[in-house]
Amino acid sequence: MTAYIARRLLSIIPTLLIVGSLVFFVMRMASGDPAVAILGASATQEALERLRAEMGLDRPLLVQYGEFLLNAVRGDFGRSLITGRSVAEQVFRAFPDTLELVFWGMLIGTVIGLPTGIIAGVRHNSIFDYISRIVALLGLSMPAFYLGILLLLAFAIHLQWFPVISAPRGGFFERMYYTFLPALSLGLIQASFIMRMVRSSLLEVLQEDYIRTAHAKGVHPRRVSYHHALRNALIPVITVMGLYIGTLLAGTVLTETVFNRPGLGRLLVGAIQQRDYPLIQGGLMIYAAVIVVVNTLVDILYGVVDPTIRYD
Amino acid sequence: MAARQATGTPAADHATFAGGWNAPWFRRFRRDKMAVAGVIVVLLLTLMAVFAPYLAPYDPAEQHIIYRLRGPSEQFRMGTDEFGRDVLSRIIYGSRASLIVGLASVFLAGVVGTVIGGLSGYIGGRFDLMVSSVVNVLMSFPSLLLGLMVVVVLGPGTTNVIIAVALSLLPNFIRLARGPVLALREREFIVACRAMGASTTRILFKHVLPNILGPISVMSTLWIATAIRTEASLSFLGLGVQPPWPSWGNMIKSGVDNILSNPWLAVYSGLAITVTVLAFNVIGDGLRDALDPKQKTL
Amino acid sequence: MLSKMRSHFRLLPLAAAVVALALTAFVFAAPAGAKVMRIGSGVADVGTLDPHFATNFGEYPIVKAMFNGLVDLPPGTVDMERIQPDLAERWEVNEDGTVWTFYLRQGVQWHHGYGEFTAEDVVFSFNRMKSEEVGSPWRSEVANIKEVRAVDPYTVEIELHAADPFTLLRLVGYHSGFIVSKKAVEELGEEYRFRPIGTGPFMIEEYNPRQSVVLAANKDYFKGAPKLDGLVFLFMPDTATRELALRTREIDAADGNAEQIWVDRMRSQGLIVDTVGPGNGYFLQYNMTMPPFDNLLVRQALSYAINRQDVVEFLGPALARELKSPVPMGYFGHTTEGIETYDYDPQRARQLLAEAGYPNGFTFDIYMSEASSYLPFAQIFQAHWRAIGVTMNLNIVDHASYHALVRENRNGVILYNATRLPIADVYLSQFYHSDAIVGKPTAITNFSHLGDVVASVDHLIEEARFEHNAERQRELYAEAQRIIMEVAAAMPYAQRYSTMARQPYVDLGYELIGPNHFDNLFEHYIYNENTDLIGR
Repeated sequence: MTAYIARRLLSIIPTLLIVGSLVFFVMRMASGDPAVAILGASATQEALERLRAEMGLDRPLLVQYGEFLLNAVRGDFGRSLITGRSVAEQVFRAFPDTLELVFWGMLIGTVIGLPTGIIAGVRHNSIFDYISRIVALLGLSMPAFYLGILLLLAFAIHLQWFPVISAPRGGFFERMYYTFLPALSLGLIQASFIMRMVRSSLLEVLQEDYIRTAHAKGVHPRRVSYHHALRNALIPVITVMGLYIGTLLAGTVLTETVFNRPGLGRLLVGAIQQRDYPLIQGGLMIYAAVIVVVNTLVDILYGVVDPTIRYD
Repeated sequence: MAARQATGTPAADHATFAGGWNAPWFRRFRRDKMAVAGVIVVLLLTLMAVFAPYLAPYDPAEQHIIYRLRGPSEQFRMGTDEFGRDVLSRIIYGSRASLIVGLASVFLAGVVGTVIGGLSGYIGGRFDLMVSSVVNVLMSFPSLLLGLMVVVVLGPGTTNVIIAVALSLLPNFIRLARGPVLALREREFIVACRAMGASTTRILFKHVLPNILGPISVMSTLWIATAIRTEASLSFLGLGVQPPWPSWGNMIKSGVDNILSNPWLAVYSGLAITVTVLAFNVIGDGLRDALDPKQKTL
Repeated sequence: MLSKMRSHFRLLPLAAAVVALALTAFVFAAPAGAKVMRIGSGVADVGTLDPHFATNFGEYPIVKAMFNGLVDLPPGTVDMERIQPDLAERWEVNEDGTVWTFYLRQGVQWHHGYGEFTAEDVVFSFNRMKSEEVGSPWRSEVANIKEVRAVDPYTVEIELHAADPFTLLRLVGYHSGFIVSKKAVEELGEEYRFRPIGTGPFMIEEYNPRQSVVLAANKDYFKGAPKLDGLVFLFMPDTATRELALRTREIDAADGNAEQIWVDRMRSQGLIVDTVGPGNGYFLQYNMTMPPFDNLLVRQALSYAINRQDVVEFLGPALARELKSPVPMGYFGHTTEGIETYDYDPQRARQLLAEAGYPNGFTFDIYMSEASSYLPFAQIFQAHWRAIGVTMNLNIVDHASYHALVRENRNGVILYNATRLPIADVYLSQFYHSDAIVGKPTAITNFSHLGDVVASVDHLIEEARFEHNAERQRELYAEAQRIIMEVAAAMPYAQRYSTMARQPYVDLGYELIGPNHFDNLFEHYIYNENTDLIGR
């Protein structure tokens, strides 16, 4: 058991290594010569060479690659080409705002998706089931940023219940107020995923032999559904929710843009538009690291709660 | 997901597309009203894209600046954008971008992914290990992030978006093709073929490929939906289809910029994306249910 | 196994409660009733806050709140007749107008403890501005300065190469006139870009990339402590966002949107909309060294294909006018008399294109800024040129990248909007003199390469600069404008009043003179020590 967890945790390292290599080589492909990217095409040969030497670009690519990895481990992603500031500082400053959004999005998604999915699963083929399935399908098909625009139109522009700019500030409740609309737009989409997952998982479990046995033994049907079936049905749901954190994170890139909310997503989009390669590199690495770590944790959690998983 | 993986046993056990119009899967599919509606919508969209020049009342790039940012009217059924271009015409032409990117990228990813995944599963060994560990890492990335990364390298534009979306879908296809091939490799009839001296190519095309086409087709339909959404997202960020040509994504962007003057612009173009993605999603759901009746759940 | 998990989960609500409590504490920690003015800036970010480099339209108002010049214009006008003391208390000029002596204010302190402002700082600032190595874009403004000498800590002598009728105007706290702290620039080095140290009513507090710039009141400001506690410039490149934020009172003032419908809508919401002029000149330049734009017929064809009326319609006829000369209307020296203006004539355009050897048009790519003051016009011209068979592909980049790329000669067609000191000399020197050609060490913003292609323009600009006979000066400027249009180096297409919006409770602290020929506010509200929020 402990060995299993240790092994899973250790597997984060090669995964991050693959991600890091990918990001490094992809960015190098994109930016060509970083010295030219900084100084511009009209720079003199002399100035370019000086900068290359300064940045260590005159050394073999593999040495640079090694150094990039070494620095990345220490949390050093270099400096932004545009502002000259430390990439790590900018990224870590933006990250909490994004995490806040993801957290509330996940919470809203779960609070809505979980009960809906359970009811739809237990009373399948009922009107409730039918309607919630259609709504979930709609949610699944709607880009989160479009839902965001609709919410913005309705609640911020027409009703003026919520602020238009979601730059969170102030205390806990004030921040919640600023975060609500963007979190809702992510959360509703998330709820669609969760609802469908819970429902299908529950239906599958309800067909299993031991549930039939429970019915046969005369256990009250409601107790069968909610007690026996639910617990088993929720196990795969946890995994899926973990996996969708990645999707949710990616969704923030667009949601932050729609709601003019500071955060990692907008930082990344800005960096892409400004071709600020070190910043793009740092932003992607953070996204990657978070997704990899969350996936691993979910895997472990799954292993812990599901006794049928073998730890070999 | 876990449940699906558990039943993701060799594809040969699944019903496949074999059997023509009267095959049981097709009868089941025909009975699924939602799925049939999805097919009709997609057919209509395709017709719209093909016959756009005949359907659109205006040239989608033609500007009528004095009529800029008007709401829906007799003259412009869905209103106009910031340059006074007809929104209806742009939505009609925009279907081209969405469908082309959706279909082309899924096709590209499907072909390349199936080849890589199939080879990886068939050859096995170190090659397989390398492929599957990269795929595992990439799988955990949302397609939007992968798409963004590729567009950063290639730059914006329609062709590059197709490549970006295809690459972001690639790991899915590799994994989808690899599993069944890995299982098939050890099955008697393949082993027998090999023993009889059939060439690898022949085995792959004659025996392996037909067996994995079923699930790949089903998932392709669902991934077209993902592809269309990714294209819209990239265009929304200004990294997709470039002006003056319309894509629903860049129309939403211009709708957001002018949301107070003409909110219809964002609403209509977003609606177009939603309907299209929805149609592909229902078809995908319907196909899955029809091909695998045991799992009539999602 | 499961029960173990559950016992862990039981701790969760407790942890959540602790976190919630800690976070609520912040609500009460926030300073109550701080009078901070929130301003919606129309850019996505600033590239620098160094006043000698601030060019982008988001940068100037921030810099202006932090820095002073030796002299200044009365707030709210650009009345060249009433230039008033600022860091200099008074000044004298010698008989032939080549040596100016400024007597400095005593006891002025630099922000954040960088010591007292002295003559050394003035000498340092002008030398820095002139230095090719430093490379300020406003170098040409001070090119006429021969030497700046510190006579004593509070007296400065500025010696000119030749007497210039607009000397004082060039020294006001605007692009080239800002005085920086020698100590701060030398000590902070590269960091100075976002940690500018000035003498003005507000001082830098923090810069959050792509989010905001926060300025705090300088309580020791030499003209008196500001009435506000601080200014926050929030980057909101989307016009819709700024409008909504104004409506919901999330911000107090904002860069406006120069569109008639916007102005009407804002006014109907009870907001004050100010239009400030004489406005931004909108023009495009052709790179005369890059094929096919090195061909006069091609340039002329493209110019004839442009319908200026579309642009005016796009901006709103009440806010914009057609511009037909390389020098904007209201600037000293502007004329359209006797010059080719390329009035819309698509027939002629097609004919010229055919003569140039492109009967079926051609295709070219350019980089274009995503800014709302650039991209829409590029798209309008894209449509105009499509009508004569010319395809222009747009490679859309952010505003700062666009500025960098066009300075690297990457574009054949360059769109530019500019407000400058309202005299023809500044516009012509920066956009058409050969010294200003991009790529040269002395580069400013001449993208057309005109001075190198047609040398006579240089002589006209230089001769006019020191001409004391106003009549003769005007003639020289007219000739320069005629040549620029004759060779189709540029296509000026519109002049636009800027709009600014503020809440009714915002008191700027000075009177804003309505549009007339010398009311240039440099397109922005200026926030000074008298700016106040009354009863927000």
